[in-house]
Amino acid sequence: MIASIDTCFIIDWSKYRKRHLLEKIFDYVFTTEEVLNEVSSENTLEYVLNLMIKGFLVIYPFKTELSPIVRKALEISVSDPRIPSLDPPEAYALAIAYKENCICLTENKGVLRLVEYYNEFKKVKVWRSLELFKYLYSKGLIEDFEKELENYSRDTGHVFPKKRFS
Amino acid sequence: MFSLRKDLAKKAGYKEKHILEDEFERSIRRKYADWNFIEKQPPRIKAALKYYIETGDLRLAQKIAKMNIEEFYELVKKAKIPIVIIREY
Repeated sequence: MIASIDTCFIIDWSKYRKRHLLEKIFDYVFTTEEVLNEVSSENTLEYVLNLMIKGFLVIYPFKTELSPIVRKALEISVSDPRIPSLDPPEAYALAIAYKENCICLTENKGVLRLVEYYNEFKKVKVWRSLELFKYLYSKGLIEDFEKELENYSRDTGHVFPKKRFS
Repeated sequence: MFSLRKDLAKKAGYKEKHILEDEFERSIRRKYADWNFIEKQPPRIKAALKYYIETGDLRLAQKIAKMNIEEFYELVKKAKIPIVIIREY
């Protein structure tokens, strides 16, 4: 399985005590220079560089092919009030997932809403940390789902409230 | 363009579910935020943090703060503003 990843996801995941689990799920993960340029803390840089040295985190080699998709996504985020702001790092993560039919790892609401509102992007599979933990649990890579969400919350400042909307 | 009044959001074609989701997430961010910390920040940073609490739009908030995304993201966490991921049931 392959994924693309955006900046905030990689920053958060680098803080997680069991961050090695990402490598148990995916064969490799694509990213772009835009994401690398935004990483600045020692912890995240160390994590990112380690993954690159292992050949797990890979700079997407066909970036020029993504330009029309990225442009389209950015145009939509500017013009459609339903879509929160998108910047190139997450737009590229979305475009890679679109092009490669792989999973997009992001918690960016712009990406999530774009995929929900626009048919042309509906095929993109977007995973937040929650979906990643569900998958880890389904594969037996974590034993206690709730405990692991608690750990992730402590390490990254996320909260996972339960709510019904219908 | 993200934070719209509810009536405008409906006119703009927001799904009702998304309006409710946004409201719920905003209430969580407001509840957990360290308002003392936020109020002590310089005006631009304070405005950016408040904007993030109200909208959840990290990118625009980061631009208001004129900070690198990772620095701003760290500041959001120092201000105890959570990243909210709703588990629907």
